[in-house]
Amino acid sequence: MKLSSDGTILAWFGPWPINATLAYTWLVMAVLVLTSFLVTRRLQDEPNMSRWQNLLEILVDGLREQIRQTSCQDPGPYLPFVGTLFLFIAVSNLLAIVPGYAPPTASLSTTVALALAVFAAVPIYGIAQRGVRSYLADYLKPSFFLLPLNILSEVSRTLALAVRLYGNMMSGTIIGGILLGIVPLFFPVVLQFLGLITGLVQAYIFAVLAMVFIASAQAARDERKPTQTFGD
Amino acid sequence: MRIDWLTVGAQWINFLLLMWLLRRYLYQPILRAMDKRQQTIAARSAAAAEKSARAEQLARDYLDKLAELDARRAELLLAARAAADAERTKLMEQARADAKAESDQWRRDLAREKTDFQRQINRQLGGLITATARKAVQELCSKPLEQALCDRFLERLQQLPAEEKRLFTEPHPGELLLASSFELDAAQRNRFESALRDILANDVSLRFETLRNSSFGVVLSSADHTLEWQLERYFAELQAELDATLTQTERKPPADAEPGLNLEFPQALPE
Repeated sequence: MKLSSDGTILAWFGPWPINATLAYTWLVMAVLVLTSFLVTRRLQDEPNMSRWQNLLEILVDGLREQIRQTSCQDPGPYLPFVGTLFLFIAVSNLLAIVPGYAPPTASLSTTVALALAVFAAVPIYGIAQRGVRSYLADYLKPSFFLLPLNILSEVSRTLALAVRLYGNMMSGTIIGGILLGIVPLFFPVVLQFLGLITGLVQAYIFAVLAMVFIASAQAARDERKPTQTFGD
Repeated sequence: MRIDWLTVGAQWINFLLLMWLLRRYLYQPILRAMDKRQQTIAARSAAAAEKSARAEQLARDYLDKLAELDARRAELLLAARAAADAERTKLMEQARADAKAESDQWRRDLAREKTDFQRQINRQLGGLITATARKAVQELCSKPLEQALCDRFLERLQQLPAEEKRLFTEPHPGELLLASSFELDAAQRNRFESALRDILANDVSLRFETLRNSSFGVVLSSADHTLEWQLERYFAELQAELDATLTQTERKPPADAEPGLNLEFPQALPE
């Protein structure tokens, strides 16, 4: 049993191999983009909208509300990043119900890439809002000697973010495969449904943690700013 | 658990690409549509609020006008009622006056007709009674009625007390007037002159006249006293008795008659 789909090479693009992880990632991207394109090309400004438009509006509005509650800030700048994280991970995990499909999030390469994206987004958003000097000065607080610990903290939480998602998704796939060998009827199906819920929860956790990290880099370290309570 | 850094790089790029694509085809269009719908709803809500305010203002205006019209109608109704009452009172008074005038006129006409009728009856009855009496007296006494009247008149004059006889000559002695409903012949005049001289005084002078308004009678009068016999006196008594009988009959309506509506005349006079 393969633990990752990275090793499954489907084709070669020059010197670069096209593995199953990339192929399924593109599949998820195609599903997301095509669905969005087909629905949003005929948007209605009136209340009598289509069901798909209604679904997407609920989704986007829910994401904005979640970001607002988590960060206590305007969700506008964070929606593309955090929303894409949630949608990509959620759709990747939900498609695991399709036979023969291997979720890209079960690949450590994918989760590391997503964690690195969060790792990069935190200073980008922080610097964009507070400036380079103010942002970097936080690493020297409360003392210069804590600089290594602060950097280690950033790296470790990024690693934890990647491994958490990878472990959950990979374990679900592996447990499903093992149970399929032991109890081939009924029980794997139940476990697959449970895996769907786990997938959605993991997508939610990943997106919320990313938002918390970004927000903490902007507000939590700035003691001059009053910290709003969750749910305001 | 192995990390393929080439795949990591590719996934990184894929994620950035996906983020851009979703921003272009999902977030921005959806947010634009939501904002536009919110603006539309806000505009409609504002327009609805404006219309509602205008409608409320209109309703208030209409209510004010309605109240004004009600007040005006009440005033007009009051004035019309007062005018109608005044007109009704005026008409009623006029109707009463007209009815009273007609009633008075009717009563006057009735009284005049009654008087005329009585006169006519008296005249006819007098003529009839006189003719009958003349005939009866002629057959019983073998003398004319006028002669009988003269005899009875002189007999009555003869039987007067002395003090009453003196009333013809005292305290103003003078000419006496003897009026009769019929023409006295010379013998009758001489008889009256000689009889009066015997009964009253020797120096009495007598003047004769004819009564115009009497059907049958003789009147002897001086300046202070009068002695007469006229058939009209019986007619007056008869009329008085007739009136008394009619009045008594009118006051006793029949038992089965409707109160206030008695148009029947008595069939026969009580004896």
